[in-house]
Amino acid sequence: MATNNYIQMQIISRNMDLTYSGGNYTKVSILGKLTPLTNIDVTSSENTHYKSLPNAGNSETWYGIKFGSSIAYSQTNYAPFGVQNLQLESVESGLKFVIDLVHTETNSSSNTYETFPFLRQSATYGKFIHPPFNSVINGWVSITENNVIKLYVSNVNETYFDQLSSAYRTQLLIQIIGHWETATTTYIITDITTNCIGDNPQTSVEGGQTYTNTFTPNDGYAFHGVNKPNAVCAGVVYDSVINADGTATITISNVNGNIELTGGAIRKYNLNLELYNCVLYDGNNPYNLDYVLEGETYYFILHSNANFIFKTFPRWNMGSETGDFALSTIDKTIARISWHNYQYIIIDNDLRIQANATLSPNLKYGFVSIYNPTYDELDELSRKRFYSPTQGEFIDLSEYVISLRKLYVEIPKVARELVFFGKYNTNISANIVTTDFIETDCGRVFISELNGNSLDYNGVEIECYLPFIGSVSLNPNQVYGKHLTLRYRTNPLNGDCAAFLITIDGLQIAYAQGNISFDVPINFKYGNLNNYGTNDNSLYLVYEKRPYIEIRTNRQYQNMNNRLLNNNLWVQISECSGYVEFSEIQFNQINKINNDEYNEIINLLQNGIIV
Amino acid sequence: MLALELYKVTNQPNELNKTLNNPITISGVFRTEIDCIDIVVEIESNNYDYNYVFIQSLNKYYFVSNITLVNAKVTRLYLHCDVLMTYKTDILASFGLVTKGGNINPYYSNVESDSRQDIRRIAFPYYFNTQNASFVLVTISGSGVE
Repeated sequence: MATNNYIQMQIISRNMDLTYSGGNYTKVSILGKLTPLTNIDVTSSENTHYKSLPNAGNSETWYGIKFGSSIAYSQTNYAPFGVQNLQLESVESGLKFVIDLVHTETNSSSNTYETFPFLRQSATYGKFIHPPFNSVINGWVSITENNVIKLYVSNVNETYFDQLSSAYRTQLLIQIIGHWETATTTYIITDITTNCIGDNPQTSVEGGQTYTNTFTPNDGYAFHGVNKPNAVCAGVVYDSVINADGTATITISNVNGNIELTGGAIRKYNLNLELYNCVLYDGNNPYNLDYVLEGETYYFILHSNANFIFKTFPRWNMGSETGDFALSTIDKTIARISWHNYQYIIIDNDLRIQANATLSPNLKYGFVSIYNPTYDELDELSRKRFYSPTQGEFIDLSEYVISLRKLYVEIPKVARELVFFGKYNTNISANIVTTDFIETDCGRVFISELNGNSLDYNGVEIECYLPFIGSVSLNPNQVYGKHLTLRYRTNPLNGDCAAFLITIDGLQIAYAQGNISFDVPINFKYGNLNNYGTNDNSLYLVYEKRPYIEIRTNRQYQNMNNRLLNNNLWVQISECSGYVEFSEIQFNQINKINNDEYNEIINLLQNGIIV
Repeated sequence: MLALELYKVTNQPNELNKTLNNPITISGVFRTEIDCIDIVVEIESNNYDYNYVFIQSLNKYYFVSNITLVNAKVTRLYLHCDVLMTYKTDILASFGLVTKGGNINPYYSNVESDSRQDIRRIAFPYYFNTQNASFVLVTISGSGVE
């Protein structure tokens, strides 16, 4: 038996006997087994320190081993103390020892080694340290998956000892309480994916657990097809799922072997599209990405929008390679990529595709193309005017321009096309004009009568001013009390316009025609610039560009200020204002008025008062 | 003693409605028997800057027709009733045959009147903004595959 001042340790199993072997000891001389402690109710209120143990029972049997210091304790030599690499073994195979609780205390009363696992029932007795352990406790208490335990106090550390600094302590106790449970197998994870990084840094995983790892491609890379990340676990291949954000996730729901992560991300190349009125497909699926992947095979097909066809070959360019898409002689709404006579392309560089589907002939005039360029586009086109197919030779492409007009109406922006001068592709796109006429709604006005009598109709003049056209007379009977809508229809080819005024019922009450544009000179044809830039209709120069209706109505006026005017009207005096004289007066007396006052009032009214 | 409200009015005497300015209230005494049309009162004041009076006890308005300085402290006012202002309500409720003047509904007139042209302009909401003109370029169509 040891005497006082010796440190002792207990390793206690709550559910199964245990033995030990091996280990490196420091200042340990006494080893042995403890007598099992039976019928422990760790759920009772007396055992408040233990009732939080996992799967706490009311009839546990505690088994244990003990060992103690070979050297009496003193303030300076109690540490290092303990055992390392002590192999614990249970009575059954395939189990692992799990630490549930560490209990430390100093004791100033007991001075003998315990012969059975001690159970402290005092509420304040010692320190009770529950998992998860922090870095300090794991520094002297730890256990591996193979049940190799370390209980080794390397220096004087008071943190986990109760009253350690007391000068009266006589005994230091360390109690490790745990249990045996079925051991799980740990599998190794090997990651050899390329050009990507997973969000799960685990290098091992317990058998039966679910393993998930989401990979993000490195900058300039992306996941695609068979090269995306995948895992092999126990001979089974687990493909990743590519997420909407471009990441790829591998999930193994029940790990039962080592995991090898392979695959990875592929280098991206830019996909530069200049598509007009058509959509790019890869095989049967619309292709919406702005990149293509190195080494990947793409079956690119261009589908023109409704009412558009390919009248020119779409072109592609990849590094130094260039080529056309193939067009069917039957169906000009589809163009397939052609690469070394294959209907696919394998990527090794940035890819550029230019395609220009034009309006179907049934919606166009055949001989001409009509564009609606912006000023900047027009400026750009003007710089393409002189084309040089060979050194020193120039072709004036304005020969292919029929007209250029400036219109004062807004042209609907339906689609864009590349601008062609004859067969020459300017590589400049502009909006196209698809309608035969452009309708401009000038809004609605309501015309009310002014006098409410015949003066609004007799001798009245009503005109509607129409910018670019002039004025038209309106019939008062068709105007008063009506909501009138004004619309223009303009031919974009030559600027001819017609304006018409309709009632809310759709009745047209007036119309007129004019021109809403002027020619812009572009050439010096026939030796006379005056052939261009002129217009018979110069009304576009008129200041007012807002249409209006002007009503010139006769209105009858009384000459109020003429005192000589003889009215001879019988009125109530309160209806008068200004200077007024009365001849006959019917006085309605409200207040008491004496005769002198009455006479004076009558006299004043007859001579004129100001009301 | 009676209360006098003194005013300064600038309206013409034959105006029905007077605008009463700079009111002050003082006390005075009658110097004559009251006949309501013309009365004389004496007041303790040397301020002559008033030409109109309202006498609450008589409920009548008066022109100040004359002022006499009785002594250094007493001023005598000669007042004449303004029947237009006093009986304004009665007059407005009365009827009369207008012989001259008066701003009356012009369309009641059956005699001399004047007809002039009245011009109204009603603009449509939309206007053609020449700053937003469009260009239309027409070229010969020569592109394309057969």
